[in-house]
This record gives sequence, structure tokens and C-alpha cells, in this order.
Amino acid sequence: MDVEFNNLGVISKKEITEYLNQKKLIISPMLDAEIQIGRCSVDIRLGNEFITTKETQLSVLDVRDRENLKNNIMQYQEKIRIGYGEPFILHPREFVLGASLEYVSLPLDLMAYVVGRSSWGRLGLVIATATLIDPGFKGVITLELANIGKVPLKLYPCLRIAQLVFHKLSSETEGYSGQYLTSTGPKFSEIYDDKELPYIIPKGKNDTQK
Amino acid sequence: MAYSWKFKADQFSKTSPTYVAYCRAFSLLDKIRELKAEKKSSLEGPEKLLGVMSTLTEGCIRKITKLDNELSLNRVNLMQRKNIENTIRTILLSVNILHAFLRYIDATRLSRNPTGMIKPWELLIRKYGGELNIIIRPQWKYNYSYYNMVTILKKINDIIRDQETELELQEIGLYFPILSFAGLERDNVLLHIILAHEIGHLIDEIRKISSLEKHGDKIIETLNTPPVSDKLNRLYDLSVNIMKTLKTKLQETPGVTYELFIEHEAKSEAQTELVNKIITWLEEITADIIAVRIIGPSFIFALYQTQLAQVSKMGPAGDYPPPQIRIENCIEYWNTLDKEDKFFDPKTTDTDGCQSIKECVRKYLDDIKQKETETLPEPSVIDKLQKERYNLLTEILVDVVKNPISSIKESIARCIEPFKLDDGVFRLIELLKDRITPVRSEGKKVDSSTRPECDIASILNASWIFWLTHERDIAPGEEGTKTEEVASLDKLRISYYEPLVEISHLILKGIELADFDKQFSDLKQRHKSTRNS
Repeated sequence: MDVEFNNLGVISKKEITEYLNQKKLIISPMLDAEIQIGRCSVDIRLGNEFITTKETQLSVLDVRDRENLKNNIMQYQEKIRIGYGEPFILHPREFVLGASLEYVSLPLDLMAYVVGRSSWGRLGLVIATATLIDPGFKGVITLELANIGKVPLKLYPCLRIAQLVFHKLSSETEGYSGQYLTSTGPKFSEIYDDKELPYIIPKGKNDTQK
Repeated sequence: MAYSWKFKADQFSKTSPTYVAYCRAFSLLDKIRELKAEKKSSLEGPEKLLGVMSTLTEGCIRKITKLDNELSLNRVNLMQRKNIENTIRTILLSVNILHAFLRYIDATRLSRNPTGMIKPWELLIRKYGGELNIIIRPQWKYNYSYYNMVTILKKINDIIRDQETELELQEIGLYFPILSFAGLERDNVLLHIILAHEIGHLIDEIRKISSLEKHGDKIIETLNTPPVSDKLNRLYDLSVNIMKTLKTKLQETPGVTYELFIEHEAKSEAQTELVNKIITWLEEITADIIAVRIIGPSFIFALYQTQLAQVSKMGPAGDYPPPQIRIENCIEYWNTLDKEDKFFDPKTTDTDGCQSIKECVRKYLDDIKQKETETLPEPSVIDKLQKERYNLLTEILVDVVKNPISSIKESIARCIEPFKLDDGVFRLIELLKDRITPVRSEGKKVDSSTRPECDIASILNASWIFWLTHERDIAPGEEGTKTEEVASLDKLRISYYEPLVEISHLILKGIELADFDKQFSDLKQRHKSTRNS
């Protein structure tokens, strides 16, 4: 039986469950459905991979210099993997990329927002800044973690760290086909792949000397 | 933290074996302490091992001190001095081996291994080999290997004869396997399945399936009965012939006595070679059979991929059976399983999927045959003789191991439960088609406490079948639809490579998630029962 909804907008627990049961929406693994599925959202957990930047060796990230940008990103990022029950310590003013533990697959008629949990917000943890997930997206969700508090925070894999709020679209749309599709861990920016970059910021004569 | 070195370095020449042995042993102790303090490895086994290695190193230091004291005595003659120095050198070698072991333990760190792969392999090993401590590590050398660390530690202890270490070694048990995989293929999960062959060696060692004591009589009988005995005589003649030809080439004048000597030498060399090869062939083929039994058809595909480069090689490949014989043997065994153990029951499994595996296997066999018939450049006289000798030796070995292998298959069937390619595998393939991570427990409405454990065999089989039947079929001409896209070879390579990498990542994620799933539900269950009690 297909899911039929007359109302558009944020979908509720009943509809989320329906989507999950029909395998249209996949959130895998759902370690504890009772706790994770809220009234109008699904809690997602923190994964065990993080990307940090070796800032001390990196001078600047300039989107104009695409080749160097790509190299800098490859060279100066470090992937850290921790085990179940082990902590990742996020220091004040530190920014790292994390990922959701869950692998998410959205149908073509749903989009989602990643929203922080207030319990973490009150401790100074900012979860995500770019929060939109396109319809048809498949993969883990990269979280932009920042500690804006004054004390270091210990983060453990599997903690419920953010929540997904789903919105129903007025009609089915084309599926997401961007560079972050089927990602299985946090992914650093691939902004150098933006097709319009060469003509939005053309290279000046002086740039070649850099 | 630096260890307080308790020897006076000034007393020794910097190049003396005593000095080097002391330095290496003390730095080993330092490193062991560091590793213990850091707790880099989350596994229990390595920690136990660190304890034994620490005691063993201390034993080595005591032994070096004792030997050094003996050296300083005036009554030691030149001969005795040399013997003592040699023993110190042997201890130095042992300490160096322990240094290597330490690197292996260090390599078990999570960051050096594919996420979540170690635990499922451990589960699989424990299912068939019992409760064991295991180290799975990447190695620089492009190889997959197995050996038992306890055997080597015991050998080291035999040199220093330390009672304390002996007691600790007894606690570890008889086996502490180290399984190594090619570091280069760290994230190429589909090739990790070769580890099943190494697990086969472990199971064989524990259960003594291929031991020569069991099969020796049969082997001798075969060797003494025609046609094998005739082939054997021909092999000896050929060996003599090769040696003579070689000597003539070197323009040496062969005398009658010298001829007899050559004959004797060549025969005895051929005999030693034959015995060594029989042992290795039995061990390797047994490990292959066990691998097919515990992991299923995907082992054959992985074996083919890793041996691909060697298939066309007609010369001797060490003591190992040639790849084509190994692969054919695996396929043959898998086919017998197909019938006897209802490996594929058409009523319960997706027959299309089964059919495509069979087609793939047939394709592989054709590939092997084609490579065999490939024309090679004109060989020299010696090359011709060597090739003839190699082919004859291979024929003999095939005849000799035939009987033992059939009884080995029977004993494997008695003691090892076969892997079932159930409908779960085909469900996982469906998930991969949709680019969803193949988590084993996903979609099953089961209580979290009875949720199936992460079944690495099912996930890897599903991935192989998916790769072979859905992803590989994009070659030009096969489907007819993608010909334009993959017109050039480079494009074809890219079209193969990218989905393979993507699938590998999806599998890894699937395995990792299943592992987290299991740990989470275990802890939750434990927490619930503690609260209830």
C-alpha cells in the first residue's frame, strides 16, 4: 500500500513510521526506535569517524585557486576513527567534521533538516550549519561540530546528537546526485567541484604567482 | 617514560653483540610499557601477549647478563667464547623478532584497520576455531598469511629457558594466530575474503586435518603404484638430465664418478622437493576447501582475483599448487556442496542469483583455460626440460594428493558446518542495488536480544554476487546499452573502478553498523537485566 498524504509540511511520528515500514525512508541502523522516533523528528546518533584540520600547517583555503584548494584539503585533513565507548574530545572553539552513525536514504517526495538537540546546545555544542538534506539523498550525514562553550566536551559514538525533521514535498522531484551521494563517513568540502567557480571568480594575473 | 637501563654501556664496544642485544632488549621493554600505558589496542588478546613478551624480554636480559658474566671469566677458552657469543647473537635475533611482534600489535589499532572488519572475522574464527586470542593486521608485503605466535614464542623460550615465561605461555594456550592481509588492499573489502584461506590453515592446524601422519600411508602407497611410480622414475631421470645439461653448459668435464654423483644428488634433491611439495599442497588445498566451506562461493571469486596474475605463469610457483589447480579444485568442491548440502535450494533461494553465480564460475574456468593455451615465446633447451619436469611433477602431485584430499573433504564435512547461502544474501544484494548499506539485521522484525550477529560471510557473498552480476556487466557489447559511454579503455577502467570503490565503502559501512548494532543491543540487554535483578 502506498503512502498517501493530503497535507504537506512537516510529517509526524505516525507518517515517519509509515515511511520507515514501507522502506521508502531508510535510517539504518535504528538502534532504538522507541527512543529515537519523536513526535515530529527522528534522533540520529554520532558516528565514529571525524575529520580534523591540521591548522598549524595550513595558510589559507582559497576557493579561487581550485587546484591548490583540493591539494590543501587532501593534505591537511586528518581522519580520526574511534571505537565504541571511546571518547572524542572537542575543545572550546574547535571545529571538526563528524557524521551520523545512521545511513539515511530519503525518498523523492521528502526532504529533511538536520537540527541540533537542545540538550547538546545547552552545553555549547553546535551540530550543523548547512542543514538541508535533498530528496533522494543516500548516505551518512556530515555534521559540522563546533564547541562554542568554555569547557571541552567528550563525545562518544552512538550518542543521540541531532534530529532529522522531515518535510513532504508538493510533488516528487529528481533525486540528489551531488558529490556527497553514498558517503559512508564525514566528507570534507568539495567546493572546488562547483561548476560555476571558474566564471564567478576568474583567475587574475597575480594569482599565478601564488 | 624511559626505562632505567641497568647496564653500564661504557663497558662494551658499541658493535659487540652483548651491547646491541642489551640495547634492543631494553628499548623493547620501554616500548612494551608505552603500549601498555596507552592501551592503543581495544582487544584483550594483545594485552595478554604484551605481558608474556615483557616477561620473555626480561628473561632474555637475565640470560644476556649471565652469558656476559661467563665471558668475563678468565678460564673461558676461545671455543667456549665463540659459543657464548653465538648464543648472545641468537638472543639478539629473538629480541628483534619480539620487536616485530610489537609492531604487529601496534598495527591492530582501529585507525590502521578497516572499520568493523576485525570483530566479524574474530567471530567467524571463534565459531570454527574456539575461544582464541587473535591478531589481524595489515602488512606492507602484498600477501595474506597466517602463523601461530605461540610456536615462535616457545622457540625463543627454549633458548633462554625461563620458567616464569613458560608459566605465562601456558596461560595463553596453544594458539595465538596472527592473520595478515595486504595493507595495500586495506579498503578493498572484497579481497579480504582471502583471509578465509588463512583461517583454513588455523582450523587445519587445530584439528590436524591434513597432517602427514594421517595420510602418509596412502601417499606412499600411491607413490609406489603405477602409473605414479613410472612417472616418478621419469621425474628422476629428467632431474638428472637437467643437471647434466646444466653442467655441460658450464663446460665442465663430467667423469664417470662425477656422473654418479650428479645422479645421486639430483635424485635426492628431487625426493626432498617432492616431500616438501606434498606437505604444502595438502596444507594449501585443505585450507582452500575449508575456506569454501565456511565462507561460500565468494572465496573462489576472491582467490581468482588475487591469483589472476599467476594463472598464465607456467613455471614453478614455489611449493604452492598452481593457481588454476587451486581454483578448479575449489569450484569442484563447491559444486559437490551444491548437491550434497543443498547449497542452493531452488525452492528457497533466488534461482536467478544462483544461475548468475554459476555463469560467472563457468566464465572463470574458460578464462583459465584460455590463459593456459596462450602462446609463449620459443623456450630454450633448459626451459623446455624444466617445463617438462614441472608439468610431470605437477601431474605426480595431483595423483598423489587425490586420495588424501578426498578423505580430508570427508573429515571437513564431519567437523565443519557449511555456510548457507540463504535468502538473506539475496536480500542484501537488493539493498546494494539501491545503494543502501547491507546491514545484516536490517529489515528483520526480531527482538533486539535475538538479533542475528553480523554475518560477514553473508555480507561479503552478497557483495561479490552483486559485483559480478550487476556491476561487472557494464563492459561494452555485453549489455549493449552502455557501449558509447565506455568506448575507450580508460573510460572502461573508470567505470569499473568507481562502483567498486563505492561498493567497498558501502560494505564496510554495513559491517561497521552491524557491529555497532550488536554491541549496542548487547549492552542494552545487560543494562536491563542488571536493573531487573
